Amino acid sequence: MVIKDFKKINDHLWEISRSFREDMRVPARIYATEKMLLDSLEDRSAEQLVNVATLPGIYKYALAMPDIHEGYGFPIGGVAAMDAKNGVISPGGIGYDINCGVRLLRSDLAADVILPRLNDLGGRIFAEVPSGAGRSGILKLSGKDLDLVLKCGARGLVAMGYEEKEDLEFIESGGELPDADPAMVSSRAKTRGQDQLGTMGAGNHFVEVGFVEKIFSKDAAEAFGLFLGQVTVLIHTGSRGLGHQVATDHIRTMMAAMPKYGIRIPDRELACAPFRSEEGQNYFKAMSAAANFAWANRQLIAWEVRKAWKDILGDSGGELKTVYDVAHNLAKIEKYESLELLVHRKGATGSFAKGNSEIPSRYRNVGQPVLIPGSMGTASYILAGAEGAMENTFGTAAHGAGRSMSRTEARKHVEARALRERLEAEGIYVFAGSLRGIAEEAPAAYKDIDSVVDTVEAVGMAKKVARLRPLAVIKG
Amino acid sequence: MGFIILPHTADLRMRVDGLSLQELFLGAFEGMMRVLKERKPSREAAKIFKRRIKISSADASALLVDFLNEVLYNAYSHKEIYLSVAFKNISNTELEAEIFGVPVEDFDEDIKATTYHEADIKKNKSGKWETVLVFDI
Repeated sequence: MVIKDFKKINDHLWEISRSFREDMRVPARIYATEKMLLDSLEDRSAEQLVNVATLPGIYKYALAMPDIHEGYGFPIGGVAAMDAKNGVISPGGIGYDINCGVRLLRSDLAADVILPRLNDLGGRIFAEVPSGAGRSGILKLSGKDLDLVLKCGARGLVAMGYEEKEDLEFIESGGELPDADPAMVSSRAKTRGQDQLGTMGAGNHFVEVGFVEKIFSKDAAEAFGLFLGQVTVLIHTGSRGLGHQVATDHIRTMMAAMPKYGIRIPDRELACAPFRSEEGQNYFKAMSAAANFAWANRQLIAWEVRKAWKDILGDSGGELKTVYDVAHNLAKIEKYESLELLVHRKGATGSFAKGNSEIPSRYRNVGQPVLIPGSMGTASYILAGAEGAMENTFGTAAHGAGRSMSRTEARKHVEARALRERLEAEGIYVFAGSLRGIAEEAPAAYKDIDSVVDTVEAVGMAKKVARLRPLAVIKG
Repeated sequence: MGFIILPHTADLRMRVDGLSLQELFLGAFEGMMRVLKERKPSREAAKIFKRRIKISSADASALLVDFLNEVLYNAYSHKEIYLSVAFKNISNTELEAEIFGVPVEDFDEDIKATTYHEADIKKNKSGKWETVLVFDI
């Protein structure tokens, strides 16, 4: 595709009209500057967004956030709201890592207090949080215990003694989707996930110790419990092998069911079924269970991080409290314009404006916390959801910087040891299981986070609250 | 028979080919294993485990993706890397195979799944069967 295929709506919004391709049911819209749009045309992401616009029951438009990049099925940063009565649910609109998401913890300490112990702290977190592909966690759950986690999510882990009730209030949906049904999760998925709670995984997943480098909104920062110089911890991971297998199982089922419903799609990875059908409901219940597993996973990782924190800093370290935990790969029923819609977000995060009942009461006058992590060694942002998101993007904002370079290219161009040394010279320690992982996640492989966040704010999806600077990055 | 890694912004794209369907499947199997574990473990290193796979799918392209996902499930649930595959039966819609592997501590890459995204088995100009595969990593 080329830029001529787009109509410029304004400096940050571009539209591909419905007439672009015969099978489109709605237009496709990308929120980006001209430069970001041109960059996105280097890969197949726009074409993937056009494919999304063909799905039955899609409402108004297929959307892409400013961090759009090529995925499979949906592009990363893709959003589609389906009519919950007559539309479809597509596992490809959620991805294999169901409820991949981010949790932010805040401490009572200022960065200068922990700097002398930073290396020890990073090393201890690396030891406490299993990372890398195929590593087991401290819990091996099966039978009723695993079903409890699948049904109750983070609350299930609190019931087992991992963490405090207070966390639950600050997790999206309380860390527990009510439609979860463990019976819809195959025994294979359960086998794949049984030893993976409390594990980070590999790829772009990480735990990052950082500090509040800048405050943009004093009132919002105060509501979120943030202050300048404060040490924070970001946790980024998802539902691990359990979620991957749930998606694999149900995409296969839906592919077989599509002829029965007369559904034709341009990409098999968009396999879907009517939301109200047996196949659609079975997937929704399994997806909800996998999402609960992911919230329990981040809950256990928070427990592991707190353990490391206490081991190194003792009682003087104080507590690490949850600011917020948000999903960026999920489908949820939400209401817009008096319609019940099934909003698919793949690499996109909820961004509800103030007053929404989904927002924890403490933050309700500010807006939903929007957590946008940068790449390794670069800034991350905390924003608050705003009206523009409710009006234009089904309560959604961007979820990250977005890749601009393939992992293979990154490995070719980045010398991991040199990168680690450079970051250390900047005061950022990197703890990683492999040099390959460091090279693949190099900042040069990602878009500029500042441009993504500026676009999010410019179009009114969310307002900047604070910027975090990393101190120690722990990854697989 | 072989595989080659192609550019993909976020995930992993691979082109595989073979003179026959069986050779194509073998190339894809080898390619995926090399992504999971760059260095092929030695056969003498440990006891060899055998796992059986029997699947049916709508067509050859879906069959290849489903086969690779079966291999992935086995690799992750048993923590094994597979060194070889013996195809007992392979058609456009059915496959029966045995895979032989050794236990590993961990993997080099976390492949979440093989996707159907660009899977489309066709004959290329050289008369070989060929397809592109996208893996979610």
